[in-house]
Amino acid sequence: MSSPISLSNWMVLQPDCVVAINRDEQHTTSMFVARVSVWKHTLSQYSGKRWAVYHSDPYEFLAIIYALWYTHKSACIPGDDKPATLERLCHQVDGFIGELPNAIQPADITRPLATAHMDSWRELNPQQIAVELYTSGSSGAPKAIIKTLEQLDNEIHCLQNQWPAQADAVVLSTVSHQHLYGLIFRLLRPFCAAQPVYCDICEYTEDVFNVARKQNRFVLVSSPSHISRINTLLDWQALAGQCVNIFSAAAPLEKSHAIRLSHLLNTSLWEIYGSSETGVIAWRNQSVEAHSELWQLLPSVVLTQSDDEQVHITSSFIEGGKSFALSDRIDMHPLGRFALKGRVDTIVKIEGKRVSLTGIETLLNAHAWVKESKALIVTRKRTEIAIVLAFNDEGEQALLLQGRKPIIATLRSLLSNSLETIVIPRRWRFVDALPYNKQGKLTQASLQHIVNCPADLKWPTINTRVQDENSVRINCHIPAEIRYFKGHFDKAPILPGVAQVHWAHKLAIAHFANLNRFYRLEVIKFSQVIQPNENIDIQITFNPAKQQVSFSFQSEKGVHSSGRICFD
Amino acid sequence: MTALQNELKTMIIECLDLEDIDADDIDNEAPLFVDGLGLDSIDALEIGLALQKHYGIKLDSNSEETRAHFANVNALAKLVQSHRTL
Repeated sequence: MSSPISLSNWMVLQPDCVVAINRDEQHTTSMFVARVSVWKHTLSQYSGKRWAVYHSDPYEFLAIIYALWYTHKSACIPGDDKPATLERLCHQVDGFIGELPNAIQPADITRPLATAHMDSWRELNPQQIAVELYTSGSSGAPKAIIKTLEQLDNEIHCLQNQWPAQADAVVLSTVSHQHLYGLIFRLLRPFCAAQPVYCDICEYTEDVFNVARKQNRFVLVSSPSHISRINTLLDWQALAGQCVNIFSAAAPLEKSHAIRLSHLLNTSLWEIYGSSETGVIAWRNQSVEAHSELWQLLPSVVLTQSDDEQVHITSSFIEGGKSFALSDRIDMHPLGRFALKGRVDTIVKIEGKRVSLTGIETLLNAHAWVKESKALIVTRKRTEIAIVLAFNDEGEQALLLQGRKPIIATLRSLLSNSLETIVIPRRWRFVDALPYNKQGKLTQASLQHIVNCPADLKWPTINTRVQDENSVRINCHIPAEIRYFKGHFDKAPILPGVAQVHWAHKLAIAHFANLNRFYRLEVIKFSQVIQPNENIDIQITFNPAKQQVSFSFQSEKGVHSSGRICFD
Repeated sequence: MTALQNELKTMIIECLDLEDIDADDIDNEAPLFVDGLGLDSIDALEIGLALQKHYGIKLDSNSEETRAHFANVNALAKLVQSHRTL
């Protein structure tokens, strides 16, 4: 084969070349051609031009997108199959293909189609739109990223020059091809390099080990999520010499993790820096102790930095040959090398998944309970998203009546409609007001401080409620985390009387409609202290004629407090 | 068995640094991932490493079998027990 194989002239692949390996089954180019024929036949029955494609099997996925290309249709590729992503996508496409609700099915064909031979396929037009990538539905309405066949081919050839492929090495992956990195590194580039793709994704590092053991030689396409959690106790030495290359992208890898895996597999680990919009930009190899942590631009990529520190990337992998403004800040070094300095916007990466903090806040703020919320990154055992949130009256009442855990569950499930589980916030702090400083700014330090302190509680945990028209009896537990115990008093915490009156007042409002403004307190008595972890019965009786509420806090110890709240 | 289940729940909460979840909140039969406890694929990796560390269990099965072992606390307990009796 003289000319390099590209996505457009793929038919020069040898018919017996192995395209994919599904467990013990091998799929050759000629089998692939037959599969593309089936999908082409299926798709030619539909007039729609734009199709959403989601399939966990890269071989089937590739057959579908080739069939779309040959029927002059374009593949819209969502990064996930979350309801909100599909909801947004369904307005933009003519139909769904693959593992999606109401997806069209491949035609049931028993006799081979005329197109099932390689020589019946012509070269594709490099200018045609190959894929439109839809990132996760977190940042409002992100624009689809469009790639022509030529853009993808240019990127593949750049990689091929930098890291020449070894045709017999099987490509194992822990990342999905529904995102650009996986699409190029796991699927399209191996296809053009006559390298077999292993169809099952390796969900655990044990899978990588077990699958790799069955291959003569392999390439690992992975990300820091897996590489930083490699099970080092497996007999990786048994694979020595079999691993050709390791690639990692989606987020920067810690140097020690790069060195560890590189040693275990006795090969180089190449980290790739890029984005869905620009494709690959740079690489580094930290797996040798002495090697630099700086990134090295790829030969065909041009990086410029304007006076305002904005970084622009120009390459033939970008739509229309235009330059693209990156949202990362960098420090430039000589010879096309640079260091990454974090983002300029509120897009963050959690385990390699891009998510917009503002997008999360927008979703939360749209809920009927929420006055204001702020999302931030916290680094604990893993990097995660935390929320500092102030409720409105309705939300505060929901928190009082339902309790902290059910409220968190409701907010999480709201977000899970739009977000992948990995990026759903794991730490919640409910505050009366967000910690604006005197300049009206929310500083990271003040937000981090709130998250670093254990969550405190404002309300008792309600066990049972018995209500009739004008009275309610609430059995509740008084957790030690109640904020009013703090400093009152350090050695022997007791629940302040003012907190009890406050609870009685709010419980009265929550249970009896149309209460007017608070007017005054009468006959308040505090007879016995309430200590952490006591179980208390709160009795509230409403006298509508007098617009008064009497309350009492009682337990097996007797009456703790009682009083009357008068309303206007 | 119940002691083992509780031990596993404590292990999960600690190794995943979970907040607002007590051992009592985790039902032995409730799914650990997505719908139930809401854990994700990274948590699965961490649980795999914790099983190795606490019980010396190597997950040498394929992803599907591993997923079955990780379905809920009872399934995890069975995995640990079968490993002990080997």
